[in-house]
Amino acid sequence: MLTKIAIQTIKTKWKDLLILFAGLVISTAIFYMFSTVANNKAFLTANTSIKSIVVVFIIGEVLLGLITFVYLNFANRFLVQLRQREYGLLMMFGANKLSISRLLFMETFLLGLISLVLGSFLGAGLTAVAGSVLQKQLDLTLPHWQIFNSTGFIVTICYFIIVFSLNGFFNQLYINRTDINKLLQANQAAEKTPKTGAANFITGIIGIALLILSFVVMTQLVAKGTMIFMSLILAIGLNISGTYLFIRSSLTLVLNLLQSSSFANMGLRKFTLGQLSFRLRAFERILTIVTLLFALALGALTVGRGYELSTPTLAEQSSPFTININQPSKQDKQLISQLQGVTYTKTYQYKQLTHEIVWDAAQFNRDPLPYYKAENSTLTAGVPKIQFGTAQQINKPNSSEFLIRQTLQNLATATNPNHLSVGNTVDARKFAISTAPIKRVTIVHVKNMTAQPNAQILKKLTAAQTKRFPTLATLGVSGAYGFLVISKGVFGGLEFMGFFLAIAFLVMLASTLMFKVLSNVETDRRRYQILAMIGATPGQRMLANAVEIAIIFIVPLTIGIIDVVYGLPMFKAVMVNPYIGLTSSLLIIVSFYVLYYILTVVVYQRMLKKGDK
Amino acid sequence: MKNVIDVKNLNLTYNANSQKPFYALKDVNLQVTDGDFVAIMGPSGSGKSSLLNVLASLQAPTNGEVLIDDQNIWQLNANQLAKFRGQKLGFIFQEYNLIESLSVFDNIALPLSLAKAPTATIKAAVNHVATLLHLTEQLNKFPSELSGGQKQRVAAARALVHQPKLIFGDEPTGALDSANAREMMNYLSKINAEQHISILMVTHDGFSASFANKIHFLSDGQIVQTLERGNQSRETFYRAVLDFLGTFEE
Repeated sequence: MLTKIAIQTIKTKWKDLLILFAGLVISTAIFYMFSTVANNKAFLTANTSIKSIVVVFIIGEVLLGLITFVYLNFANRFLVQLRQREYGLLMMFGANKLSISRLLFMETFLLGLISLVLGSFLGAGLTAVAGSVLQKQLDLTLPHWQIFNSTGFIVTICYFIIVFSLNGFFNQLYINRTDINKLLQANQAAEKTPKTGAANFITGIIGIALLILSFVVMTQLVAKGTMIFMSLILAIGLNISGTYLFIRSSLTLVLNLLQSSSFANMGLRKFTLGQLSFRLRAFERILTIVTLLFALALGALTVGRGYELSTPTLAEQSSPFTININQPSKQDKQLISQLQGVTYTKTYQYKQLTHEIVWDAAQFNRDPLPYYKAENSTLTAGVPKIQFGTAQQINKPNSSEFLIRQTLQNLATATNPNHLSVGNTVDARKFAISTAPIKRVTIVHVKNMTAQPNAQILKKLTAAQTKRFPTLATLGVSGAYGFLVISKGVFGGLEFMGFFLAIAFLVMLASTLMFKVLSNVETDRRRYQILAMIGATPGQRMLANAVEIAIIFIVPLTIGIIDVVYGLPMFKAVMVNPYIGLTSSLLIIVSFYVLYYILTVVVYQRMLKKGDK
Repeated sequence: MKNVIDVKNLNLTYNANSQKPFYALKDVNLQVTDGDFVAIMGPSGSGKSSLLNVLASLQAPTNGEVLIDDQNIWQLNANQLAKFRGQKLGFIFQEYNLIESLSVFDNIALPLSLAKAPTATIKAAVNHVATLLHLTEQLNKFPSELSGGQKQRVAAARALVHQPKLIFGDEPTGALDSANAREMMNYLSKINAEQHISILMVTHDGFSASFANKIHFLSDGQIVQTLERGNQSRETFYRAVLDFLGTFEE
């Protein structure tokens, strides 16, 4: 009988259960995604130069575990809330507490188990898609990449079984301790009244103080490498508790102030403010983890974008030419002619002696050699202006011109089998008398080496050079493009992880916030009906609802952005300028966030209207 | 005397196109004069709530005319209807329908805020009705902190604060004990007499109905009988109502 009733409940409340179920599946999938990367030690160590990357990922996994725990706990309470009235009725008709609590345990556990299985599949699917799309998009091939990692899978299974069992156990305890009357009236239970007293004022101030303190720890201790792990954990702890208290109390202070001002008297403003001060109490935990997820998504993307954006700039700074082709063949010349946005193409002649490369001085006077002035160039300063030097400057450079020698060194030396002991001489007479055959080197500079078709052509040119000159396989083809290829090998892993994690955190954020917001439709439906009776127009009601949800969305957005702005200096040890990817990442994440807000409002208002008679 | 409600040939049919249509209201004609206090009684399923919902502009009729203060309400669009409700009507329901996230003061003030009344006007009006309904001590509390009787008084205050033309009551004493029910009805009589606001109330409780000047009895979607209080005392009228109900419900 009880099983029949449980099935009947699923039939009647399938929409609510679907929201709950979708939330559970997504949280499992994201946990799986993260675990797959975090537990793939070979992948982590092979693809980054950061020694402590494995530990960082373990801390990340614990953090995600905490976030998921809060989320699952909330989802569980939602399930109990959906079911408790029915349990009360069953008990009134004579079902004993033991069988009811067993039923609830079974329901919780079964729902968890099904979400675990589906979530793992979805997680593997997401990992596969995100992994391959990103590697293709970023032009990377990462060694040891896995869609399935046995340790990661076991961690996921164990974690969720433990949490679902705990939830089931707590539900049993709740049913055992709650009397029938309370269960029956559960749906009419009032929301918690917001606190307004002195205690709230104090916790509000403490919240702000803890947040500020967490920023101080991030910028002053973690960023400077002082007791890095201890200070990192301290920063996370301070930040989470600060965010929690800030949402719980500090914002209530602001809302109270607004409510008592004349600003609130117009239209539905007071209603919206009243709704918010109640909501923030009910949302304090969820908004805390949403803030964290927002900061993590934005932070991860900023770091990923940072590497993606800074490598081409670093590469450009490394050489005044994009690629250097020794002894260009017909095919090479054809490929070069297909390059777009070419700033210059120069071909120089040289003669290769055993321990010396001799250049004709006259050609540098006719067609000067590009070089960078030795300025204090930083990543933020961008790419320096290309200078051109004559034979005299090459032979006798002044203090700011000495890099011209390096440019010359980079032209043909690496292709010489004795490259370690080869010198470069610019001398017209020596060039003329040498009987060695004349060789040529062509250098090209393009404005954008990462855009197509340039990237593809440069790749082909590099492959052809490496094939013809075996020393280049280890030394790399000189020029900005060669530097870019090496940088990708070093930083590509981090770039990938940044993007991959950003996707995971963003999906988790979307599922968490939407689930929580939509779980309020039932409570709100009556309120909006009352407003309609009192004389609020449909437009006023929709606007009030959109504003209320907007403010709920803006809170994590604002704190999350501040978190990232103060958190980024922590990456100074592994990045030249951690802020370089911030603007574009912010644009991407905020765009997604706004879209997702619009979607939530549309779904919410549709659900509200569905209840209207 | 001018009519505040004028209902002509009102019909409400559910599943009109099906083989078994259900006629919730059948050719109802009803007039309520300005300043009157009218009750609608009838057994469950007689159409009381349907009639109230249609008159209160919460549910559209199948056909027929509903004029409230000379305005055919079902010719208004959604926005005009909302404004009309906000200006001319007040509501008191059995389950109070207060907004839990607003304080008592803000609950009462809501119709005036919606009408964009100045802050000083709102304060004065809320304090006025709070004094009238003995709620001045409760203004800063939230609905969850009030008793049933107090909640219903807040609902009455909210229905009254913007000086509507007409208050609709849907079983306003349905959730109250007898002492609170009597108190509530006394307040409604006072509002009707002193503020000259017409009241139309649906109830199945003879005691509450005996506070009205006129009672229409509804059965199977039709008005079948009307009792008028005239010069009788409330107690005498109550006995007449009970006598009638004894034969009516048999």
